[in-house]
Amino acid sequence: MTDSENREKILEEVRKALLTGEIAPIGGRQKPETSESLPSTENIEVLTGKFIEEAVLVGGLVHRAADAEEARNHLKGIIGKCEAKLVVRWDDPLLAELGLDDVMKKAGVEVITENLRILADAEEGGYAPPEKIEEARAFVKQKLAQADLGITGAQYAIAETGTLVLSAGEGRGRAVSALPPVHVAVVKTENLVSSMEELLPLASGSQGRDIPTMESCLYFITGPSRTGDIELALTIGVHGPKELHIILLGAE
Amino acid sequence: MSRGQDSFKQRYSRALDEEFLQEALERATTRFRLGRSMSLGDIEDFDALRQQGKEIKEYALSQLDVNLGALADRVEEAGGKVFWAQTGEEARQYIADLAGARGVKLAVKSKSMTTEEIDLNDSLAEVGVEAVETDLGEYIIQLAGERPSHLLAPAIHKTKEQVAELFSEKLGEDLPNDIGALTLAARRALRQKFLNADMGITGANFAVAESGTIVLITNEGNGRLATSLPPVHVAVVGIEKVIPTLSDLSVLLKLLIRSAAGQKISSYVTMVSGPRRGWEIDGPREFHLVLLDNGRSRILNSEYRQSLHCLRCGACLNVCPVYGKIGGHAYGWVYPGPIGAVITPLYNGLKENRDLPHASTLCGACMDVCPVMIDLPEMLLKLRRDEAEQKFGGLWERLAFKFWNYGVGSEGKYNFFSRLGRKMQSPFVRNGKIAKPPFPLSRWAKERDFPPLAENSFRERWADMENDRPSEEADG
Amino acid sequence: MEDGEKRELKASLFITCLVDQFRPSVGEAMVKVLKSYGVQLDFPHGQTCCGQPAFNSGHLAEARKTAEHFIEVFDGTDYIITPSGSCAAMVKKHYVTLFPDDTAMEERCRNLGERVYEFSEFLVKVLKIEEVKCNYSGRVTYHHACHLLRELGIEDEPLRLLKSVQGLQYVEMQKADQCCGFGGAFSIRYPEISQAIVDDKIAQIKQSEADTVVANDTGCIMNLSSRINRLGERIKVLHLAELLAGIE
Repeated sequence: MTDSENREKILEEVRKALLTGEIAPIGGRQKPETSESLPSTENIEVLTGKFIEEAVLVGGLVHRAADAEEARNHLKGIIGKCEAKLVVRWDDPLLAELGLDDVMKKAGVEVITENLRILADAEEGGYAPPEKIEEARAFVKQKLAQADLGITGAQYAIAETGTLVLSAGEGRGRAVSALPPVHVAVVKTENLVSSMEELLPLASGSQGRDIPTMESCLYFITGPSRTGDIELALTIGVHGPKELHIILLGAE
Repeated sequence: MSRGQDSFKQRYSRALDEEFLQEALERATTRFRLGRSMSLGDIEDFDALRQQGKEIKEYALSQLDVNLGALADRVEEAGGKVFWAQTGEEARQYIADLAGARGVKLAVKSKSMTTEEIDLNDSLAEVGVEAVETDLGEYIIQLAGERPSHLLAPAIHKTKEQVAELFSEKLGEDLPNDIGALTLAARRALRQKFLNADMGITGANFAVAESGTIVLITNEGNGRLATSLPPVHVAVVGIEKVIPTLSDLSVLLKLLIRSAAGQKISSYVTMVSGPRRGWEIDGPREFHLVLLDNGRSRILNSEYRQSLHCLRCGACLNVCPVYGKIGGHAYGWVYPGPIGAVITPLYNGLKENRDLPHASTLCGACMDVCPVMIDLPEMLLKLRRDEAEQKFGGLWERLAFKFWNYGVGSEGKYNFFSRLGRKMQSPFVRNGKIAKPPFPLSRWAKERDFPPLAENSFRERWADMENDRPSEEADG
Repeated sequence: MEDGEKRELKASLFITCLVDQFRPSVGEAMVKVLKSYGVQLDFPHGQTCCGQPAFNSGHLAEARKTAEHFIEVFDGTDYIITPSGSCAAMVKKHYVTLFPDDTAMEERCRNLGERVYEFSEFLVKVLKIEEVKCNYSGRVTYHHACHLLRELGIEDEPLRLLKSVQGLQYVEMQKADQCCGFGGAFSIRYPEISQAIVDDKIAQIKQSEADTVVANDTGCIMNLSSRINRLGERIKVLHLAELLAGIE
């Protein structure tokens, strides 16, 4: 049976069920309210305070930085404490601006930047032979497996729950914030929103448009990884990172 | 299809005898209950939110065909593939064929009840694919060859000593009885699997139609690794999981995560909308969404449609007095607790599972905590009615109720049987109790003192009471 | 109306088959207490059973017949008072579902439901009693019978009355709202599970150090006392009415 035949068969069953089954409630459902969340006209300081409170509650380590130098100092400290030798990072303009590579190079750390075009030696026009691209991907995967630390930015952060929002894309890998035992995320306070309800329209770019478009992958990260699967004892650091450091950039 | 050849009675009897399971169930249900009620502290009106959740689910199902179509279109637009599986067999076949075509030897799985429902791991094994569970609890029971005992914490029936022994044997290491060390060992072992896997298989907690997005909720991070490292990602999703919009999602996320894990949000929420794009450095090259019917459209077309609202949070398990004593294995399939007692007969046949709807006191605690207000007691009653109509129950039961009905049909008959009962019981009454009442009351009397019928019933004493005369008999 | 003031209220007793046949002292206690508040009682003799056993086992036809009989017997009464939460819930919530194609019967069921009161509900909501004038010396805990609590929403009323008893020391037990494991036919179909659940309940009672447990449902009372007796525990199991009437 072809795909569209399969699709029709199931949709037919569903339609039949809906016609002969219970009548749906009239009027559908109310539009979900955002009454639970802080109003987003709340000033940044309030949001920042709430974000930090929540992030720390779930075991995140928050470092405030008023400028690039403070951010670099924080990173230096983290790298030193973790005794990091190999770091993989997003190819993100913010991270470049902050000059984080300098800090790491001075500390003798090998840094891999997730720029696939460069790693695959792509031409100006954007072409690279598929094998080279696959090689580059495999190379990064191998580095990620050995990396002590991964550095990313974050598109947004949600104050209500202390959550970081990372979207995958060119230069923004997925495993870099999941595979290494330590994850450092740099986020600007101006990208704080109050709640998930506020965030989703932003993330899907659906404001003012009919159809939302999501990135291929959107991560909501709240604290380090955890489990209670053995005797319900809380253990931090299962498959994801054991440590989550958040460098919060913004005037204090 | 049901698991195992044991009867319900054999399974629950075993569970009642296992001391560690009893302790574990007590601990787990108490902890989850506490977590849930604490996490509701910052929500002003949780019942209003539940009502919203219920309406969203009702609405979503009422437009299911439209929503499914939209979901599939969006996923395909984003470069994903959609396979529509009417049965579990079709889903298994598709995934096995895909694995064959891609030369898959190793697959990593993030926890998915839906894949357990269709026995996916078995059929992958048949085509030479090693499918490794990566959720720590699921990993433990997979190594042990057992079934989950709780929806969210599948290995709570195992002590750390048992886990240490299991890991030491299977991983070839000498591991201490220390939970931290055991977790680390699992992390190490599974990292290799993640890195070398040819395929990542997940379920989804929700599928959002308007954006073609599936949502995975985890705390461990295995969902993230399974959807970023392997080149192929397969998501198996029941058709009832589709919801219309992202704003519906935010309501249901709140309800699900608090009801399940007592958290405001889990450590990781991953929203996948198709395969990787363009110059993304990792992420799957291929994304396959397997939409599974497997009886859901049939249930949609029945009095049990509400059961499709279930978010699989497990809150009903944690308050159920029956689940709290018999644990997950006793239910005989993949879904335990009150929701399991409702849907197991619906998916696998009422005749084969006719104990489950009766193994409930109808206390209603489940409905009180269900984040989308599913009327579970009502559905259990309906199943009992279906069973009575279809006459699966024993002949004795039907006769017993006919007899009872006859006996309470009128005052005259009632009084007759009351007097008859008292006459018949009198040789057996000793010390104010009946040691060996007739079957089926004998089952009660094994561990409880069965009370005798009173010497004088209330109505016989009424005349005295009415005239304010003190009654002659003292009461037992 | 003042607390405890005598007035001329007429009410009918729906005594329930379990009280009638197994524990008439509950009925006697109810009568004593209600009479002390000046309620004029009658006992419609035609009453037999509310139909729960058949209903809960899915035998609708039988349940329907029993409901029809009940409706006839209690036709025309203003207040119907029952000691059992589950029986009250059966009549108030489920009778109407037995006649889906019969609007006349549905109306009669609705009307009937409005006239039915559980004992403590009647005392508090109709007689407006805030405090009771009686004594009981003992440590007392309260078990929330499931149908009373969840189907009828009666949570406070029995507790308020209980706590106002002079000399009584009220102690709350853990998981007071957890089922006792009776569940009607459940306790006979799955006695081992039922026993495990009631043993839990007894453990909670013991932990609270109460010497008395009060429950307003005959099924719960029978279940608890029969197991307590077998275990030889020294815990009294009473209906609120029995405690108020000084009948132990």
